[in-house]
Amino acid sequence: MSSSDAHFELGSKKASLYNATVCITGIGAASPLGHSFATIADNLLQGRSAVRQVEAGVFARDQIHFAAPVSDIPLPPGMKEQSFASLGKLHQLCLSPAAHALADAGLTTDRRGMRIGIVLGIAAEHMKVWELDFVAGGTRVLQPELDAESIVHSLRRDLAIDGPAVTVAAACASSGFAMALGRKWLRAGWVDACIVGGCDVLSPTAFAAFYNLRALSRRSDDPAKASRPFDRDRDGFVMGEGGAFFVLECESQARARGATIYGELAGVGMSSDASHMVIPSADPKNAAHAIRLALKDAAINPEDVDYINAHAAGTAVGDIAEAGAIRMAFGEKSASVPVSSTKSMSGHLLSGASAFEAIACLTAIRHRSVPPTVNLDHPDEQCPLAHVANAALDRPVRIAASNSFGFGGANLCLVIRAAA
Amino acid sequence: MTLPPATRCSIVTHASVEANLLQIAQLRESPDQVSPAVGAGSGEMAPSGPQLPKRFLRHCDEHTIVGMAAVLAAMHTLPESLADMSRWGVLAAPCLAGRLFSARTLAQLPKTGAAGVSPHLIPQCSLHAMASAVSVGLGMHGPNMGVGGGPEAIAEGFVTALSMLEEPDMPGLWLVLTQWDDEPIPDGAGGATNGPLCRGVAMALVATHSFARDSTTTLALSLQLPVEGVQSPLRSTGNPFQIKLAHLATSLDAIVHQRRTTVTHSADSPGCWSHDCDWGARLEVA
Repeated sequence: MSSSDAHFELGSKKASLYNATVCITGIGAASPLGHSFATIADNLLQGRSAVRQVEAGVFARDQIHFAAPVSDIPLPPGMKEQSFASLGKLHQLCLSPAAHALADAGLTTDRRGMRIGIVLGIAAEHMKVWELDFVAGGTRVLQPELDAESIVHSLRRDLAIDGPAVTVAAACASSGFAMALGRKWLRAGWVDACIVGGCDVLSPTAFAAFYNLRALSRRSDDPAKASRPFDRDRDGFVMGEGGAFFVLECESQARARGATIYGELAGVGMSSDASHMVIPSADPKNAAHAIRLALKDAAINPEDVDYINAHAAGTAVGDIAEAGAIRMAFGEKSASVPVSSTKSMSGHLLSGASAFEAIACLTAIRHRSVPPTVNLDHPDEQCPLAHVANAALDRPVRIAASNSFGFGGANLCLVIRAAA
Repeated sequence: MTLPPATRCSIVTHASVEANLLQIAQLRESPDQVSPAVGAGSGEMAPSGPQLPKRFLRHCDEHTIVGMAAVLAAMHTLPESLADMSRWGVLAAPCLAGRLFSARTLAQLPKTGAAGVSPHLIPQCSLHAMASAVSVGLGMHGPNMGVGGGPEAIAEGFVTALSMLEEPDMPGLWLVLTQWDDEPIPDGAGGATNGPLCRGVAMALVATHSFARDSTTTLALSLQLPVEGVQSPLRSTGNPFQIKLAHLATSLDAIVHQRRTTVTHSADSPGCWSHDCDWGARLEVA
């Protein structure tokens, strides 16, 4: 067979998938609020904070650091402890939830010839690898020959999957962009299933750089009170680490093989502020445009949305900008649709935030209860939304929208719908 | 109705730029001053082009500077019908960006501590930085996203671009690829102990159905999937830099040259560039 015979023109064979319903059939997480859907859901609905005082390392400023770290990263199914321990922490934080998502979807071994791809959302992989190596006494940053493979390609081999593997980055929206891309691959027929998500890891220079940007909270009293999205006394975000991964599949295939369907990734909207490399635009129109695109993609109206998981990290400028975008996109409905920021409990998982917050949306759908924004004692008057403050709100949630925004003006909105 | 991701698209124009560290320092100040020796567009240079805000690139990584210069060079040859790029998206796929900045930061860390870490480290050296700089600097409101980041970045960039092109409300997409010819060996002060050359290729992509193709300058990028049921090898890459950007740039120019000088074209002609992805698919520019 010639090389040209071994390929077919894409799109000729799977045209029926172009508007296919894309479902979430596997969930994996390594997060400050737990490593399973059930544990994370329980912690979110109980309003428990994962933020605590952490040892920021030998290069830290002389001050208290609050963060939401991940402890005891779960061993991937079937992997030997020694092998897992030999991996760097960033690799572990990616592999563990990706492998658990695959297992949760029932695809660890029984794959029936499925082509499985992976899209990893991570914003600064090599910088983190170089830094963590340096902190451990290494000089990898000076040795380019050691950078032979990105984590996503290692994951492809670790998980024994043979579809495409790509890393994407849109700063703090990275893992959401990964979900969006995986959905496109499924609808194009490039893959039969796709592992999507992202994660991040705490590191000394990340603490320092965000602190020096004046983006981090400088509170030093009670760690659990430090992350305060939408509160008038907020003073920056609290860093977290970890992330979440999902297995996406087209509904028809998922049902045919009897997979559990957690929800549908029903809509995606993306745009850019094109305003500033760090600061979100004060003009909400482009962020609102991403939200509108997502609602349109899901073929729904603002009135159909039962919950908005806000990006709101607790920065002075960002929370106000997002409130403006929600009000612009949802109009009058913004006065009544429940909004919360789960970063108040999880901290800001950076690259992993968007995927983790998709779990918060699935929590609301499954448990018919909206997770709260904790520490929302005095809502900022410049963020006039229907806040779910400090305690979960019990109500049916069929459709949730989740916003994610990132440095460089990246705007993303995901719409997640209950399984039919 | 959501349209399907593209299986092929048109490369309306492209340009490549190469620069050593000294030239990068010059481009940092004047990124649109690409000399004929380091630029190669697919068409004639226009007398004027888009302007960046002054000193916009002063904190940027080397990859961003070279990538931006390539975009600016390519924009000079963009057809008039595509002049409004306000809704375009940007994908940028740098290979191992941020090494020199990171090495300098880490070298200084024991002396300066956290106070010495530049606040520009994350926004300017992360994987998204080049895409964001193009989006912000040139006012493009479509999605902006970094892709790849590692040795496999170029193939990842092409694959991602092909799956993004039918994004609603996005008339086109810039794909920017950057790579050092030889990775720099950092000196810890922001420079390198070797003489690395950074190369950038910028391509303006549009969905094939949305653009009246000019066969002499417009190229076609396509992706072919492997036959169903054929498992692709799970290989560990012996040569991590599977695609050399220098070769890609030369090939793109050769294909355009061929189009200008011959009437017929076939995929088997010497001007065709292709790459077999490690998952069994094939990328092709013809």
